[in-house]
Amino acid sequence: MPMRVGLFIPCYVDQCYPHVARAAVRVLERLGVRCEYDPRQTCCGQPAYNSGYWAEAARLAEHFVRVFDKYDCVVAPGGSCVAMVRHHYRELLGRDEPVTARVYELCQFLTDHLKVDDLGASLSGRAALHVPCHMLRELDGDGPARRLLDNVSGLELVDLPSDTWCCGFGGTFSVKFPELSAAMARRKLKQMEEHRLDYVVSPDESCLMQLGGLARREGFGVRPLHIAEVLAGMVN
Amino acid sequence: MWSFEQDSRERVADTGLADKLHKATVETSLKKTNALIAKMPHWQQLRERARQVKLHTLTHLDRYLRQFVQAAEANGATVAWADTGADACRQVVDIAQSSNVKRVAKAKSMTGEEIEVNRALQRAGIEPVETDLGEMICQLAGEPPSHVTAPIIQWSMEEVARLFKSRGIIDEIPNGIDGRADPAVRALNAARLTDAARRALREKFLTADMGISGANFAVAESGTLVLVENEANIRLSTMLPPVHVAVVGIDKLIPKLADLATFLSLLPVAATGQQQSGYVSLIHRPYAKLHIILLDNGRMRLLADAQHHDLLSCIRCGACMNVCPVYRHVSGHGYHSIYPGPIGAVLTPHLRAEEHYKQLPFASSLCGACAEICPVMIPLDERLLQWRDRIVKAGGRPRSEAAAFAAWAYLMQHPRLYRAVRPPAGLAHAAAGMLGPGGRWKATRELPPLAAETFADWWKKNHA
Repeated sequence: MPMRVGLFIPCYVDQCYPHVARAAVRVLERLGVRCEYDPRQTCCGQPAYNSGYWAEAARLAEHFVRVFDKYDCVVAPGGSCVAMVRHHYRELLGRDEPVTARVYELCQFLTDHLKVDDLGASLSGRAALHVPCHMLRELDGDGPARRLLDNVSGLELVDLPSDTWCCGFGGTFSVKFPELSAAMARRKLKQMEEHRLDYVVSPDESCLMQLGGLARREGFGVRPLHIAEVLAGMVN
Repeated sequence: MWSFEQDSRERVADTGLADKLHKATVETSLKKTNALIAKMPHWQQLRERARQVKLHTLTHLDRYLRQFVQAAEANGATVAWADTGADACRQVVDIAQSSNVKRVAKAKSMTGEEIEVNRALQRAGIEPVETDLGEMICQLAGEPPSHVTAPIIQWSMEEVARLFKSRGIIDEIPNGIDGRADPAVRALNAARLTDAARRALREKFLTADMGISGANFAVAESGTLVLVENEANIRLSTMLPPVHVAVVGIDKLIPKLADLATFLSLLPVAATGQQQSGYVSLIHRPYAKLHIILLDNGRMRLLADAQHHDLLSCIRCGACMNVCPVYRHVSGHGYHSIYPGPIGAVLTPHLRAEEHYKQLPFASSLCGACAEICPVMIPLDERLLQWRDRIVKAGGRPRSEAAAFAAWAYLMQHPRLYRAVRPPAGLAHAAAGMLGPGGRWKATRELPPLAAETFADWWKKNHA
């Protein structure tokens, strides 16, 4: 029986950034991975969990398990949501659900599962890599994303001290403390601009919503790009 | 009620503050810390060992406390117990008054800050003199320390020079102390300022009738107090005056002298990026009359908290502050607590009853940098999350927020409904209600529009 691969598209990507999900699909299909998408999927529950509403988050964890349990593998273009499922569902559900260990962040899936480092993509410019904190510290770090971007021809990845700093999003943190949250993003963007970067590339669109939202408001020239867009050659 | 949000907004508006904090942490102490850790292949082993020793000690704290008291008394110290900070202060003042003390040399001590011993001494007509350079500056300026190991982390050298001039510690502000000056000249001037402080303090040391310190570690098997420092002021404060009072939190216990090898390898690296501190004092048989006050002040209650008792394993290195992006924008003063940063955000609501400290566990983006650096491996991000859960369960959040989350979760469990209500409702709408005023995001950033076609719709058209 062929392996069933399910797409887990974070809710805000589904609603606001569908092109990122389409890019992920293009990357996977180009590598011969046939994906399925179950439209009953909604949110992993992270906003509720991080805000202290664990009962609500637990109900969404149950919902997630019901939707995704049928797959052999689940792939998501969003590191933070994957870390939520892999590392925090146990506490919420009070049990180990095998499916949580079968959920992969896109980069991790490409490099570790499919053993692919080079997608033949190209993009000219200088970029910083911003890996979401939960992916950096709870998943596989920045290794997979870095390996994939190193093979994008024309792209110069510039290491900055601020690469590992939080973008300031932090879920509801961003609206509980809008000025503080924005200040955190501003400090990163300033450093990118000082190094004359064209792009900030991330495997997580929520960080880019934050960095891009401030960049647009304050006129920073750094353009946010999801790594799926880069790998799929869908940057225009 | 004090508001973290309001307070942080004002501190963020002063971008110079974050610049100074980043310079002091990212460009200075953290740089050194990370360079040292990179050269320590056993760093992780040390951390695990430290956590194990601390958790073991906490689990058997009754036994180790008894052992410590016995050993310390056998060494010639007088040991007492204080339930609260006020209780500890009363005892300190009693000891001072019974020895007719007029002036106290104070070694840098977070426990001393916690119980506000200086205020108690002053009320009793006794002069406390802070002898750590940073604490001395705080005392002269009348402000609390902003960091557990770097009290004046956000002070520039110019500001220190101006303060010293106004207090007659120096006659003239030297040339070449601003950020643009030649580094060699700045270093020379820094040495000049330190020298002036040293001269001003020397007279105080020699005339103090009593010294007050905390302790970094208290060794159960030998009754030894261990004090770690760089300026030798702790050594002078505890050895010169005829009376020494050490106020020691009961969380400072470790079982054996041999355990120091672990902790003294971790503490200076995490705290200041030093392989070893300038001075480590092991106070065993007292030089002077030694009083040890073992302080509870909420620690016993925390010890009984099965989920959070490991917060008592903190060694007050301050590394979690140095790596914290929130701390680096609001400073220690932004937490309104003597224990700031991630550890302060989880510890303070345990130690202090005031309702406003329940805001602190929310004052984090949960990036996890704190847990990653913590030399005793306290999972600080998990503790922050658990606090949030507890506060919500206790009804400590606005009712509107709770209702919004309940409604949102209902919607997210009913995919058909969720998909049907978009637009005009959809996620953005739900989020706007859930997250309080919808404009809070837009106050500082652009909000992405909802896409014309969701991914789900696109998939249905193209794949299904």
